[in-house]
Amino acid sequence: MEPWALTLLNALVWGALWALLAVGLSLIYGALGVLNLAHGTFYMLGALLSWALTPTLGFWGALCVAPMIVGLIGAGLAQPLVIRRARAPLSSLLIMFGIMLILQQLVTLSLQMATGELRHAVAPPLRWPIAIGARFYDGYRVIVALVASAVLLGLWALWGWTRWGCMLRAVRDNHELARVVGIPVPRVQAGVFGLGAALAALAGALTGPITREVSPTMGTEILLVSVLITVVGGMGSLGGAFAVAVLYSFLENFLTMLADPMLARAGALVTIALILLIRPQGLGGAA
Amino acid sequence: MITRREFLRTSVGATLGFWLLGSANWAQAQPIRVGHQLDRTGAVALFGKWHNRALEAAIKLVNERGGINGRPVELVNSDDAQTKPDVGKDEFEKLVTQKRVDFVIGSVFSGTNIATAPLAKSLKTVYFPQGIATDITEKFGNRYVFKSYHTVRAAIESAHEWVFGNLGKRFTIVHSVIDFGRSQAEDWAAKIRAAGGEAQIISVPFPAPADLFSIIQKIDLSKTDVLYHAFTAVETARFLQAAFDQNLQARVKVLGLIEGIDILSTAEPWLEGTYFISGYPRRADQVPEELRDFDREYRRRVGISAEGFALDNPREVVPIADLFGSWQAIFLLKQAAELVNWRSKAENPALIKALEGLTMPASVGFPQGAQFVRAQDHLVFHDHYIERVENGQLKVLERIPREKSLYKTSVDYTKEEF
Repeated sequence: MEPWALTLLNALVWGALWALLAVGLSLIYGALGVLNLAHGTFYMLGALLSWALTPTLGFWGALCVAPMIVGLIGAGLAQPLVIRRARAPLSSLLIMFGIMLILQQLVTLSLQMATGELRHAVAPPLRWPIAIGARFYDGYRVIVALVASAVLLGLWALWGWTRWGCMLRAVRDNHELARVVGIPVPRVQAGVFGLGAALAALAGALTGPITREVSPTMGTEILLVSVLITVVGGMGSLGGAFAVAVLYSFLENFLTMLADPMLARAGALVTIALILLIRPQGLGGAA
Repeated sequence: MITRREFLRTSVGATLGFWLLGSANWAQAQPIRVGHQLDRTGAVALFGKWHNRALEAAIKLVNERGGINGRPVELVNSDDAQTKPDVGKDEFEKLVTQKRVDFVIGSVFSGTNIATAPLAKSLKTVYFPQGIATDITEKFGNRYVFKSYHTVRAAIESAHEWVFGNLGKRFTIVHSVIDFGRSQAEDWAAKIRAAGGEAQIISVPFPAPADLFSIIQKIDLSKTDVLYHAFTAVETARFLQAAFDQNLQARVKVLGLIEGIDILSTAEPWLEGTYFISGYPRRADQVPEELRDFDREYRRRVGISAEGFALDNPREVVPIADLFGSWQAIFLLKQAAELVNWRSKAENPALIKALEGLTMPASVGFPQGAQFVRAQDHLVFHDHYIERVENGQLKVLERIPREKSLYKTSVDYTKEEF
């Protein structure tokens, strides 16, 4: 019984992490119409920056600062590189791909020069074992779920009940009309891109102590899954991305208990992809 | 009075004589070139770096003692073998065909060794692979492949009686799918079942998933006395940390090969109380009394402290047991080449015959103690140790003589043509 209870708990934790990633990706697509292929790179930057800043700021300080830095980098890159070309899907995809490669190579080179190693161990910020039967669950993971849920709730409030959220929705629904009513569309788009990058970075910074290591390639592993969750959730639909992220996490965690981990991941991906057969526009996408 | 004819005869004769003598001296002065299939990046990069240092130190010592057959030995490094079988194989080919090396010390990555072995035979080059998957000397070896350090099967054969008697026979084996991990799972499972025990096997992809939590959930503790792990170093650390988070170390005995943690510090809570099968003690004060002089010299020359750390970086753990393969390969070559007065690769058949069945007494070249090369499978047999982490340090519980690691091999390379 214990393993199943622990698996349930872990599925909730990873559900919250996948939701952070997928909601960020969906937010960017909604506002810019661009599939952010550099999302995994922002996730990796968040994890590595947090690891690098921890000796100076402590883990919790680094957890706050790293996503802000990555968010600023994202917003800075968005204006000259993404927004001007957002209406040409192919060129914007290529630009995102280029940003991904360049950032990844820069990080690899810097890390190699600074430390001589590419993979670095991450120590857990606290030891808080929660007893469940004869086994323990790592309390840090519970904190991860709480932090991710609080951020997602904050985002939901921002989206639904603030002036900025109203501008975001207007930009998502119709760029031209938003511009006509006086919304500074490029500035909002840059802000959204930065926010999406910061969410990915937050997910990376939170994940480091769970996976116990950080490396320049860690973003590549999560990119495919994040994109698929976003597509199945309905491009630009935050609620859809959240629901599919949680569903995917439950499927992956429980299937891993029953089968080989690679088969489990493939099975979870195929299962959520089947949703597209019933709803080609995605779970939360407009018909 | 010298005639013109006599003058010409003498001049030509002298010139020819000097030329022949000169070229003979030149030939003698030509260094013997030993290639290193070096992984500079990838999962075994840290091991690659230290194997290279061990080779440099061994060659320096051999040269100080007059080289091999009076010829100096030179180390030739490959470009990066990248811990990838295909790349490693290409690097081997470049070493032999472009850099003209005489012998090659292999990668630490078993997959690369297995991919390279057929090429060693076709290029008629003696190859010393440093990975330890069983199949390197069984299914995939050949007459040109020599293992200068144990394989998984030899280590398991050596330790299984002690393990079954002291830790139990109900195993859960969690292993990486790479050859190094797979051979451990297969060889342990065969031994356990033959002894009437139970073996649950959990395979983990390589590289391992980012979160190993779900893998740990698959371990059925009610059927487990011994949790056996078979990963490379960084993944071993992640696996044991994940197990520790769930209190597994307190509930079952945890066992693995030392190669799984050979570059990790043992002063970690998740390693406390765990058991390892090793080919040599990490700490000098655990080395048997009669080998300590050799051990001291070996550590000094490679740059290893008495505690097993790098002398130039007291925080870096040296894979001391693992390095023997490379260190000893140089002394194996010296001993065999001098027995048959080896001069060039044309004499490799004689060299190989000399290596087959060679016995080596304990010395600085063989600080692990007396050893021998089994002729049939070209595997070196040496003593083993059971070590346990106590108060953050590896402590030897048992020394197992080399005869105990002699398993029945399924091959006989001595019957192969050269």
